[in-house]
Amino acid sequence: MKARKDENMEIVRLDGVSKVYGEGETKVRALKKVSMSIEQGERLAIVGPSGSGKSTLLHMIGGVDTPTVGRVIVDGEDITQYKDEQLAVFRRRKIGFIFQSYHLIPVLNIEENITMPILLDYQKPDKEYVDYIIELLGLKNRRYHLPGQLSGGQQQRVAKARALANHPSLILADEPTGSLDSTNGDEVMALLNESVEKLKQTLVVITHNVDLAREADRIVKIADGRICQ
Amino acid sequence: MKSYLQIVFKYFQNNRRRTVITMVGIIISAIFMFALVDALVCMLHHERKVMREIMGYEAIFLNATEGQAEQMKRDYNIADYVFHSYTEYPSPTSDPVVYEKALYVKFAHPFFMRKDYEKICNDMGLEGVLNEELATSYHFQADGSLMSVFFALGLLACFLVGSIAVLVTKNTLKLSVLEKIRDYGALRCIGSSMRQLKRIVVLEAVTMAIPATVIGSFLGYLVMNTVLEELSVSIETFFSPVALLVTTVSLMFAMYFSSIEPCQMLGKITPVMAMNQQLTPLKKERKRSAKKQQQLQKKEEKKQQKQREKAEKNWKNGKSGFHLYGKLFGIEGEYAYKSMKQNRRKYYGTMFAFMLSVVLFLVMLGISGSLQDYIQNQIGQFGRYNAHILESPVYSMNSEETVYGKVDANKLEGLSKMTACKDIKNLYVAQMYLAEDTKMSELYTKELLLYSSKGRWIAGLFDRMKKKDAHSVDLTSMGMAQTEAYGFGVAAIEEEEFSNYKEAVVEGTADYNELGEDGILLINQNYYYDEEDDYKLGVGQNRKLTITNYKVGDTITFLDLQALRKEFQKQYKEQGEEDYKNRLEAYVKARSVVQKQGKVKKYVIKGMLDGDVIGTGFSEVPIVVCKKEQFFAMTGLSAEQKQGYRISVDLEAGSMAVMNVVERMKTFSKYEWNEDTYEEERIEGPEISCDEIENQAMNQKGVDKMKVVLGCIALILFSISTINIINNNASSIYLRKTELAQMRVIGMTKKGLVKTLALEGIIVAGVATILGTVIGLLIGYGIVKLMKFAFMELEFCFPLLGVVLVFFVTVLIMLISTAIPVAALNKNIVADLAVEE
Repeated sequence: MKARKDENMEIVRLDGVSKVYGEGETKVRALKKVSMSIEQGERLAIVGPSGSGKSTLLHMIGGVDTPTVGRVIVDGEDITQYKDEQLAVFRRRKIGFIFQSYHLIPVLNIEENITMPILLDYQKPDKEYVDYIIELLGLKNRRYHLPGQLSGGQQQRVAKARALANHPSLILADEPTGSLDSTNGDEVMALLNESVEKLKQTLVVITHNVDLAREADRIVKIADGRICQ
Repeated sequence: MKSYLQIVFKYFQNNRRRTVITMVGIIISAIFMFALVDALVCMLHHERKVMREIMGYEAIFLNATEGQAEQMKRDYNIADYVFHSYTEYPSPTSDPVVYEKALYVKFAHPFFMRKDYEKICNDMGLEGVLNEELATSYHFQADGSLMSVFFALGLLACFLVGSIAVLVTKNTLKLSVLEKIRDYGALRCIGSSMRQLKRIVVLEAVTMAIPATVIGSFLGYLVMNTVLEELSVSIETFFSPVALLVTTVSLMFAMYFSSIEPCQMLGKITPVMAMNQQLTPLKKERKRSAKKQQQLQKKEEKKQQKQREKAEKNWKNGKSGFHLYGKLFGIEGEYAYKSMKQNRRKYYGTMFAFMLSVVLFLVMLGISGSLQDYIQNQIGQFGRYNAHILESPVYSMNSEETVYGKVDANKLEGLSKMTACKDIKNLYVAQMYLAEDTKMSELYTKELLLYSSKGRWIAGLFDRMKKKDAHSVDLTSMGMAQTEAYGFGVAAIEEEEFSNYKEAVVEGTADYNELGEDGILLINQNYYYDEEDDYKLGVGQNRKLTITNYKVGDTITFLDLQALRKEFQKQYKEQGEEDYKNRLEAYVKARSVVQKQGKVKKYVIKGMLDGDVIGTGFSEVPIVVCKKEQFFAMTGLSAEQKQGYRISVDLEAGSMAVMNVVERMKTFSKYEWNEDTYEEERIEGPEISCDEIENQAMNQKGVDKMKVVLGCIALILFSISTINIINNNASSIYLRKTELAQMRVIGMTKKGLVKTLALEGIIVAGVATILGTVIGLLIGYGIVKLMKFAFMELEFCFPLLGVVLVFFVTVLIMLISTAIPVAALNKNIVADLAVEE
């Protein structure tokens, strides 16, 4: 585990965050009074057994879901007070999401998938930067292909490129290598680490992969909806 | 089966709203179908009843005995019989043959009427007469008759309604399958076969359809009765089991067809895919030869190269690279366009349903517009003064000094104040006769002699006279020919009315001052009836023909009317017996005498007119229009001897207002029912002549009602379409929920999502509307032509307003039908992503 604390500024803080799903007999407490913080530029790994609340925690940080109780402050903004529209804007400008199942838009080609968060913000993509990311992730020859024409590894790289394209403060990856074989998985993580290093971004990764977790600056264990010390 | 039903009912309970919406769609389809089919059955039943009543029989056997009648009842499917006299007319020239005791029979099985009749004739050696029209009605032979046209239209409508029912249910079933895909996956994993799952899907469709069909059929019966009442169609209606059967069977078939696609979809997804909610099956890799692979690869590379070059160019020029839709509506438009382009097939169903509604709407609009035009065109025929009150008959050489009855002045004033009554003027008309015996070909135009019943008849009579066949020509015929051929209508109008005729001048002048003392106007075009063309032109729709060969400057010489009258009455008295034959003979003789005496009056034609703009009330004669002073001089009448009044009724005031005027006019006289002539006869008061405007108002009323009915039908069809589109959009959105959730994750707002889906909807609506408009107009045109062939001289009227309306309404419907499913999208994006922890 490497300690990398280039910056001391806090980029994410969770204060007493709880998340409850359902009601009555079907009530599920996914998170129980979770409090933590993440430093800017930090590479954090979240580990834990299935159903422990890892993805829920990631969703709270990324503004994809809202806590039942508590506050989530990202880059100085209390996103728990945001309405749906504000959250959407927040996500497209501040967050880069990478999912296990890639979740690319099937009708858009690679370049369009990558630039979509920028276009949704009604901005013009920076051609040089887009070229750089595409080059960095080895997607130059697949630029105008549709997702259906790519392999799993290539699709995951596209998902990464999309996450990087809008210069987010925070990259959230939920099992980014879960659907890949070990070779592809290693390759993808190496590229992700390289780009995060170069672009000085904060990375939060959920993973079951012990080796991957070890590469992070810090590991947070979560079990039964609580952070384990 | 019980367990299947249990599963199906549980699913209904889980999603009551969608079940109810779909059942409403099926109910509406059932209403339509049942109402149509039942109306057709009732009309057919009515037609057959009328045929039986008119002819009085189904078959008649001319020389049957009582014993044979009993035998027929026993052995030959005769339901009932009665003995009655029957008169046969073998030919127009031979005497009628009377059978005192002919056997009138009614068949037990009307569908086998012809067969049973022929069997009886053969076996018993009897002669008879079969009610051919009735027998044919049980076999629907395609002979271009009205019933065949109606049935063709009815079948077309049933097919279209059935198609809509299929589309409505199909999308619901599809959505239902999608929502339960995990359940189906689990069932498959624990051992359920595909056939068993498909049975559940089909059962779901049928279980919804059965109660909906029954409810819809009963409602359809009520709707049919209401519509027929509104259209003033008086036929006996009943709840026909045939209609119920047709509706039920058609809709069951529709339900079966609607379940095919959802079952196919289910069949393509494996249990594992279903469990993982992988809703779109992966495309199977097609096995291709190496050469083909290479070709495809090269094609792909070329495509990539083109895209690269285009993108480079766009980057260089600072352009977004968006397509037109994207340029107009931003990133949401570009995404919508790309989505549509990649998934064209998925939208075909929605497009087809929409297109169908547009087709039906425009067909109905086209038909009602054509009917409206047809009615409007009739107005031009009648002239400005389109109703007449005759206080005495039109003055001619043989009219009596009778007065029908004077109009009460107060009543007339009351009439003049009615909404639809524009003007009332005195009516001065008479019939004059040409002095010279002119050749028909010199006097009348060829088109009149060829294309009108009157013209052909006159020409025929004169042809016979030319041949001087003593046996075929007699004074009666000659009198008939001469009164018809040489009779001209004469009408006096007010000075200010002459300027109205300026619009009808084809030669010369209609100026009052330029007429001088002996100048007259000749209306040389009028509407003539043609029996041979009746079925083409339609009853009441006569043909406008040029009547005579006169020109401006020609002199018309009339016999002195008063001299002719005096001489006629003298000759008539001398004939002795007062009958029509003697009248005609008296006319011929009187004419000859007055000609020899040289008692004539000459007038110069100063203006030729192509129509009776004023509406003098004459039909099928050339009309002379003159100043009042000339009229009195020409006819020898005085101002007190006016015929009555001419009334200008505003036909565009509405059918109700016009009918009120007609009803008021009829109160000026007393009528009594004549049992012999089977019509009402005037016994007191003036003669009211308003048939044309009454027919016009009735037709307009019918068209107005039809417009309301067609409008309601169109509204209902659009409602069904909307239901279908909501369902279709819902299933489409469900299939893409992960994709849409992902868009939200990377920053698309819910508004942006709605905008994207709405824009997709607009593309679908736009394409469907354009196609539907073209097809609808073509079908409408075809149906109008069919109606023209069958029974009515209609011309297709392009429904421009309807087309514009359709575009706006379809866009609105697409927006509404997008908003409802989008509102149902989870607020919680995570649920839509279906992320596994």
